[in-house]
Amino acid sequence: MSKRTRVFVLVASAVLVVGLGTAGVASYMGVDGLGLFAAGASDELAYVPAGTEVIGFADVRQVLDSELGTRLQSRLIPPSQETQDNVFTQTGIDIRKDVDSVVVASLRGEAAGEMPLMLARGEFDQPRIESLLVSRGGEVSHHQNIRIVTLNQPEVGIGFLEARLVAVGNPAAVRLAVDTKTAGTGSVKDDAELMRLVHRVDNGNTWTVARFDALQRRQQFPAQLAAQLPAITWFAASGQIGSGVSATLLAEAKDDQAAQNLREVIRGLLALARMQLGQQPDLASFVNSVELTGEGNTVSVAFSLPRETLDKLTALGAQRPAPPSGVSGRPLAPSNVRPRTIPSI
Amino acid sequence: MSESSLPVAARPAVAAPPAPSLWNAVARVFDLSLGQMIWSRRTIFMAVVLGAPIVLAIVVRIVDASGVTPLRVNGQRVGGTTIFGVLLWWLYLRFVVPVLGVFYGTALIADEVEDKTITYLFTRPVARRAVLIGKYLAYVVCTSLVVLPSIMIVFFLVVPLRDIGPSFLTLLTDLGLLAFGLAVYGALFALVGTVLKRPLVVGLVFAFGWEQVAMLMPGYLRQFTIVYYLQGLVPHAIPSDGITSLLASVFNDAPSAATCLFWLAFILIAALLIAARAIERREYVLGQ
Repeated sequence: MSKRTRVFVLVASAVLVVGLGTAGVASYMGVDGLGLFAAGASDELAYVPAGTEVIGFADVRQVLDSELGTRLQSRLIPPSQETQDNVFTQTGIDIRKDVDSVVVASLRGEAAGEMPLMLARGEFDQPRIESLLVSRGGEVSHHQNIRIVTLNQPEVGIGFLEARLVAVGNPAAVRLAVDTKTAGTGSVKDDAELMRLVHRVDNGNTWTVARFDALQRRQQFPAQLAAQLPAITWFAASGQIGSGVSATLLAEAKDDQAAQNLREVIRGLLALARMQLGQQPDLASFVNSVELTGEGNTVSVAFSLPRETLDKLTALGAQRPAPPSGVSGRPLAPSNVRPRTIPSI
Repeated sequence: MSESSLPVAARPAVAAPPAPSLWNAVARVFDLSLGQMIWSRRTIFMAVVLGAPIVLAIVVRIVDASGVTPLRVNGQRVGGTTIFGVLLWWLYLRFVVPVLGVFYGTALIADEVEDKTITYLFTRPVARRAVLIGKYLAYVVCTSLVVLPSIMIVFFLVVPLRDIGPSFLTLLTDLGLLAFGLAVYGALFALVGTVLKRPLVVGLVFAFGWEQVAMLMPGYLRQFTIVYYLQGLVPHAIPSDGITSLLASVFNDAPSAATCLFWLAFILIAALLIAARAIERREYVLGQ
């Protein structure tokens, strides 16, 4: 075999081996295992205990700095945070200035409480936050050498986990997060099922993974709709917010048949939407951008909302008539409003 | 008096080196043929054929990166994974593989006959079937080394990064399927090139005439094609939902994977055995 033939064989084989190797590693470890994406929430996940029902991530800095984020900032985060039920008001953290990214986890069991556990990464003025909380009756304590400040009313704790990382939430949840990290095991990183889905969606600047039954328990879906949906076990979503929004919704059904049924349901809804929006090209283009795929027991819906379509939707929202008011000028009580009916699927 | 000064007839007989074993001979023919195939004029043709999907994939990638949907079916956006599937099944499986099979497979022996160089091979102390098998293996390696990397490049260009991991097993199946397709077509056309006088014409008629027509005909005629069994493996390898269901629906009456594999293996082995037998017995008359 001549030298140039040998070189050709080696180069062609190398392309094959490198390609297969890359795809194989991506299959085994997820795309982030290749280092193609930033670590994102990887470090924070070590604090989140296994058994978490819902987990989400937002790259706050990227979202707020994006074109869409800049335009919608005033709507996403009201300029006035001075409300008593705002956890950030209580802790003195300004989400627009201090926070770079946040992981939100809804825990199970005693540590769950009413508030999810939030792990915020950014620049925090610890002395100022502590003094603010203490001035409001907060108590400083240490747990596993981590400084935690706890407020009793409302019950909220803030733990200074690392130089740029704080945990905010139910005090029991904050302590559990510290314990989980210290133990080195028992975090969601050890939950293979959940992490498998996290790896599928963590390429966006916002993502969430949830056990579907947890969403149903929390009434995140209308009861009528949930009752008609096929058996779904997991729900995940990934979004990339820039000048517009592109998102992927992923559902894992109990079995292949349930997934097939869900795909049929979505196809029907898309067909219905296409029929309804035929006269509105902008919105029709959005519906046409929806990509329904799936394999086995998974169903995936991807779509993109470009800036123009978002503007159109915003304009349509503004044109919508105000809800009917009673004689006193106050909105009608819910019992007087005709309930929305969901068409039988 | 030295031996060299003796008349030739008087010199002691020198024992001829022993003939190499069949597989040694196959290895030598393979080694010789691989280089010839890779650097032949056909390679330029192959580069053009395989460059087209890569160019197409680059266009898809650029269009997608610019925020425009590269492909829609019935107004619905078609994703990168599905585009890759379409390229693979329709471009590679239905066109590239048969074309390479015809051009390379029929030329294995026919080219040597046409160039009147087959005599040099047949006068060597190697079994004739070793020439055929060595050349056939060189064909399989040569085409696989060009086709499979091309698919790999198209895969990474078209499939979104997040789908690369989940598509790994499908990719492996695709690569295996195409390599098997190249081997089966190559064996059949090697047989054609061994026994027929105008093998290229016959090969083209078979691949792009008979196979296309038979696949459209109702009834059992399609069972006498290779593409029927190759496509029979398609539904087992592609996702059965979404836009790809359009593809899957085309292959509705596909036989089982085991049946397809059996018949493809049968065609490959039978074609090679018949070709080997034919080359051992046939007298090639080299025209002026």
